[in-house]
Amino acid sequence: MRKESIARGVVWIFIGIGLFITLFPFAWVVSLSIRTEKEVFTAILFPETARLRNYIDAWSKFGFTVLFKNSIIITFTSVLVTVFISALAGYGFAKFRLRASNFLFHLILSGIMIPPIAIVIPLFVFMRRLGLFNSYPSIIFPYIVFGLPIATLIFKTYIQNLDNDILDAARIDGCGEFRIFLRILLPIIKPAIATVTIFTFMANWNEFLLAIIFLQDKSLYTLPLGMSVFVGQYSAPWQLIGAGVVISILPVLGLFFVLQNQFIRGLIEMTFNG
Amino acid sequence: MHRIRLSGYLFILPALLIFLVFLIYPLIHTIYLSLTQWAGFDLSKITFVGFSNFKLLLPDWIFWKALRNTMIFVFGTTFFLNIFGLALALFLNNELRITRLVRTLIFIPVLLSPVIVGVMWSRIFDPFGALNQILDKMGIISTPVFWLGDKRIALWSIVGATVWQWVGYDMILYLTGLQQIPEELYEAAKIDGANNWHLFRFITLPLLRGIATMVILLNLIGGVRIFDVVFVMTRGGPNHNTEVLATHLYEVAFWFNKMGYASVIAVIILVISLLFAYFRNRLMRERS
Repeated sequence: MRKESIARGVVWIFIGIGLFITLFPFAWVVSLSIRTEKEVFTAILFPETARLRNYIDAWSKFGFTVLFKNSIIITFTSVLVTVFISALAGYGFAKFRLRASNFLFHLILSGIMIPPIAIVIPLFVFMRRLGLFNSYPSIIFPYIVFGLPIATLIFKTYIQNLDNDILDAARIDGCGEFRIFLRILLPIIKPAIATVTIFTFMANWNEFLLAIIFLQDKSLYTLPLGMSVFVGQYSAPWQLIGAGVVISILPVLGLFFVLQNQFIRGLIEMTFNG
Repeated sequence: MHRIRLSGYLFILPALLIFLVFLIYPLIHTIYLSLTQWAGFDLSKITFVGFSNFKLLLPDWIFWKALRNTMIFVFGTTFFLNIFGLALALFLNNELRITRLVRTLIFIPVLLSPVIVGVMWSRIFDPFGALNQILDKMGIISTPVFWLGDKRIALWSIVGATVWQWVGYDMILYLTGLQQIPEELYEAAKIDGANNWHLFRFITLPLLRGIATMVILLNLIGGVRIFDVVFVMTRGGPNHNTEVLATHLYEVAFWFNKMGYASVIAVIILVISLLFAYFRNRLMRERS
């Protein structure tokens, strides 16, 4: 019995250390974000004076209005299109007996294996030729294509497990296939839509590699790109970097605490299916 | 029936078109570009040079360093992620309210952009940053450690920041695996007089093997893609000691405009990724 309680104590010490390591950087950044210039390098966690003005300064210095605007436009558009066309495809693969179905499905699924870095050069060439380089579409199209494979898989798996009865009934009533999809199918597959939306949203909101290659104008920068460029400047004051980090973390954190269970369930589903 | 079949293809068409245009075509083009030579910005002057770009690999010492660093990063992060992820999952595998809270908190870094993680940790690792301050106060060090400036430490600092971000992800995956193990197995073994170590060694561990291989391969595949954290934290420095394949490709392609040679590096990243993916698919098929 005594051995067991010692073991339990050791376990909780381990968990405590883990928790400290996880949370300390956040606490430190928050503390950094309210410091005065004098205390940036002297305080560890608790500065003597709290300076909330740093947030206003950081907001204008980073240009967060523009960064948020771009991130929202790019993420929302790409997620919307990804969800729509992969739901269409998922339905096509799940409920129609097509000769090439299996081949085409696995072709699209194979996209999971391709790392974006492996095709950035031809994409760069291609976008320049199309005249899309350095514009929203130059990044939205790649985001769609990299979200597509796993999203199609999720939709196909989900739709396959649905009963045919409702769809058949609608078909007998003379509904067109596209109307069946819009009116009947989309409402039933809401859980799959939620999973795909959350996952694609996170991936695109956080994406950096494609953004830094395709977006050259400051007016097009997304949040991660803007952060990296601003912080990369040698003179960026630390307290403003801290405030900037807090500002860019907060929306994602807020969303997570509202949708926690869907987040984690969606993540597990995506991982084990892919 | 014929009409229905046609509309089936119409449903797939938009996804297929985007896929072919923005992924398959560029993929084939990458391989072609690796056989060409051109100066970045003039697209009309692309000349076919065969395999001569591949010959540039051998004398490119930065490439070999990047390859070595990528492998150290890939296996280093995978090792620590699985050790800590599994340990956390084992310790936090109950439904107490406090455990649920701890799990949520440990998961939070997974949500962040690697850029933000890089920004945070590059300040913590700074010679004047939080880590050195703490170690100094505790009397462990007397002169600042250059976590990102010392060539022996820098890559491991990046491994540390990456493990910090993703350990919650591995933990959640292992927890899913643990919850699939039927409770009765443990009960039966306890009746037979098994102690905790026996339970772990002869029930938990063997039954987690499937999940573990999956998580490990997932970490390996993700590791090969490493770019953001390195780019933000060190840009591959000091003296290319944290250079990885993706940052090297970026430099060669977009700073030095050697697109043909950069495509060779792209092909190599592709081959490594496909190799890991092949193992993963084989294991998945065996499991089902």
